[in-house]
Amino acid sequence: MHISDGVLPTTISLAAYAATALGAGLSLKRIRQEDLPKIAVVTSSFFVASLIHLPLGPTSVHLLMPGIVGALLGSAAFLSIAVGLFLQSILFQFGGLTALGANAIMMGLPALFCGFLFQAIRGTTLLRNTIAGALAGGLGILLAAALLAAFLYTSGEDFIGVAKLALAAHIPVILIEAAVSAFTVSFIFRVKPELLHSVLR
Amino acid sequence: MQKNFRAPVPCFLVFFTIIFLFHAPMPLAGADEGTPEAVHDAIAASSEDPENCREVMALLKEHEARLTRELRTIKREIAALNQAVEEPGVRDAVAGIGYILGLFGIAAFMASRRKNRNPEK
Repeated sequence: MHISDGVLPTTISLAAYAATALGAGLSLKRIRQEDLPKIAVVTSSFFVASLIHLPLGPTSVHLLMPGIVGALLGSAAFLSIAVGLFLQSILFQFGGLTALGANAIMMGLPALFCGFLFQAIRGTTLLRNTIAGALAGGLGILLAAALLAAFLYTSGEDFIGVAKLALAAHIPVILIEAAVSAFTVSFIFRVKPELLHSVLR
Repeated sequence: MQKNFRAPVPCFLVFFTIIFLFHAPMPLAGADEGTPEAVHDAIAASSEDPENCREVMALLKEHEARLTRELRTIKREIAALNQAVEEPGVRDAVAGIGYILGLFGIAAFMASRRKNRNPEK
């Protein structure tokens, strides 16, 4: 799920860039020094996750990870995703540099939302944490697909049609992502629960 | 950036293979009077020996079929190669991870410097 170069109108690309810069700046201001290593590791995982292709029927899907990044990093997730997407676009040719702003918004906003949601609904038990992780993971993709449709709507596509298409294409991703997130969160909860007390402030 | 270093070697290989394929049969084709049009002319001119001309034509046709077949394989190989070059590999992934760790290392460095400058913070 990446918007390519030249799809969006220039004004939208520029606006998305401005919003991304603002978001990255805000999340940079809220970073605490002791969280830097964690953010670095999660960013690296986010960056590499898109290379892991899971065969699925005739095609293959890859992980997107906005939900789990949000759950682990809280408000720093936006910066993390912007950095990861920037490197993906220059090293992997995913998306394009002009669409980077839009791509960062598309993944970053769901990450932030899922981060807050995760902190709000995760209780203190393993089960609730796991469910919260799964919800965050699945919802991240769902929201990203919705944002993708919204962005494509500005380029003159029919919103409902694109939204349906994006949703249908990503149903397997949503399921896989939810499972992966649930597993990750339950593992971290058992092994090092203080990692989940995220930078949310 | 890594890609630009990797690409030339396979590209050169393909390039020289193609050059070889195009050039190796040339003397042969020249000996057979070159293009099919030339052969047609030769047939029209040498009506005293039609048997020989038919033989030449058959040889040429067979030759052309073989060339087409080989060209098709080469084209397929080029397509596969292009795809392999486009696809990000382990090197790109490692490079990206290095960038990320480096960036956050710089951030940590700046933060620690700021902390040292006003320790009460």
